Amino acid sequence: MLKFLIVEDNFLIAIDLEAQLLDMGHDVIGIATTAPAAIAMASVAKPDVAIIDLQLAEGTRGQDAAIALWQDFGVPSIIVSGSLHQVTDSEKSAMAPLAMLSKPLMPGELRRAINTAGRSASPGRD
Amino acid sequence: MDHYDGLNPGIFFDAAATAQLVVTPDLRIVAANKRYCALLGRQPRDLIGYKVFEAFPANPDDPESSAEAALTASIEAVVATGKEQQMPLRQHDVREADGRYATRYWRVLNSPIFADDAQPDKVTHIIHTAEDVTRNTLGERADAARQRAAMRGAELSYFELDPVSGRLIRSPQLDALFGFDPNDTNDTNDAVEPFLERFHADDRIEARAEIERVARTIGADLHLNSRIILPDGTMRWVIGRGESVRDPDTQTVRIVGIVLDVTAIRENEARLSEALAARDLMIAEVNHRVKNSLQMVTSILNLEGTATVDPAARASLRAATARVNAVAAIHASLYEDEDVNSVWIDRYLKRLTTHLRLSLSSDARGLQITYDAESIRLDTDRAVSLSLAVNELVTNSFKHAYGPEDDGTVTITLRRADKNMILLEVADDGTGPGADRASSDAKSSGLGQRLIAGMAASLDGTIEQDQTNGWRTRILFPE
Repeated sequence: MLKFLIVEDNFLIAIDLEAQLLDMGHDVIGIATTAPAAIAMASVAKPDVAIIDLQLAEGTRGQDAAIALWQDFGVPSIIVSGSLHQVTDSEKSAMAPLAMLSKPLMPGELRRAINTAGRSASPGRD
Repeated sequence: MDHYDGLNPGIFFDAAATAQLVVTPDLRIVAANKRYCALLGRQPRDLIGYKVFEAFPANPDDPESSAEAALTASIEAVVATGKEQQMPLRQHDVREADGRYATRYWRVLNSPIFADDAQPDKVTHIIHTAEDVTRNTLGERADAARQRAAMRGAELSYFELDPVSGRLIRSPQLDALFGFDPNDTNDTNDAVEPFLERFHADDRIEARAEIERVARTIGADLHLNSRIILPDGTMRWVIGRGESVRDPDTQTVRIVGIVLDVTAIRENEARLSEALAARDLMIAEVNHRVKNSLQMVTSILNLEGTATVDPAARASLRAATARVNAVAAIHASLYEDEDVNSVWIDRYLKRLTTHLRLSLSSDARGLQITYDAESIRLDTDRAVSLSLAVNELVTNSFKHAYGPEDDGTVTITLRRADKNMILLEVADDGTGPGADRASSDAKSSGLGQRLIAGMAASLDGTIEQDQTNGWRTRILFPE
């Protein structure tokens, strides 16, 4: 069981992701809708993995959240977005995401990404 | 006669290297030498005894011609003064043998003859020496006209630069282009430096280097592409083209060329690329929103499915989700290139196959989905129909053709058939409990069958279903 932070400003999508993660037997420590909120929640609750959308509320960017989570807290992310093409190469290497998935997610796609990442690397540094 | 060594003086007249005519003061022709007859294409008998303008009538198409009046005036002056008269360059067209007139330009010298011993001061005849300067005159005029037309027509600024002294000879347009007063040469002193000072600071060094480069090699091409800043702060884009030449007289090097104002072109280019960037941004934004909206739809269906306890209702919601995903997968194929009206159906089928493998958990069931598609472009609406049909057909095979322990392969094929037709085939190799769908399927998957029929109809296609090894459905539709 892993502890997830969901960073997604669309409520319906966020609770769907939450339901999928709970269905897989994981735990969700919270839902953040902006990059600063995500960083604040991660600093307190120390999730194992963050699921991060790119275009967040209040004009904030998922890239910034993902980079801070990885660089400051060692929390890796799975990017789930409809605009993956916005990610630059330097951002990608700074974020070191476990996976980058395009919306709309296909059934089972998230589960597979988590399983693959879980096999290849142990998420989080704790 | 002693004076001429016994020769007839007419011999000298005929041998003269210039074309000569002897006329009386009233312009009647007395004699014409050989050179004159050859130059005008006439025989002496066509000329002698006639008046000059009887022999050479004015071109009726040139009513402005004042040759007759001018010649009369010149002859009168010779008679009055007893001195030769040089006539200004003049056009007088000559009628040729076929009646056409040829444009001719003449330089004429009229010289007096004093043949009356009784009145030695009286001009009795005039030698009319004519030089045909048509070729020179027309050539010079054509060159000048060409140059004027080129400069005027293209708003060209012509220049000639001495790279050593920095002296700049130029057309007025160049002064105007650089914001100097074309009527006041004091502001530049004909020096290139004031012009160079008006180059944009970022382009000036490059411009100087280019001029030095071209000055070093005779015949090198000048390529300037620079911004200039006028005193009022306005910026202009200019291009300079030219080459270095050696002056044949002074042996010094000159750079000659033109400068062209391309500001309007550059501004249009900038506006165009801004508009294109804005369009790309808008398409990306719309694309993002559509993907997000499709994610919301699947999220709603997922949530609904999680909250539903009844297994039949849950299965229906899963089927609905799969259908939405079949449509959504098409959307992911859009915006891969410029054309949003059509998609490469082969690329799209690859994505749909991945989606079907995941949604039907094919790996877990030991079943394969393979696809084999020709590279065909299909318009987006038809691709959506095709997509939904493939989704239903593959889902049906998974549902009915195989038992829980069966292995098998569902094959999706898309290829061109005869006469601009496209053939879609979905075939399985299942022999499971529901393999004989002729009876079972009609009841169990009514919506699926209706969707397949409806989608085939929207493709203007025909459906063929048969059972050989497994179950096979073929939809043949026009391209």
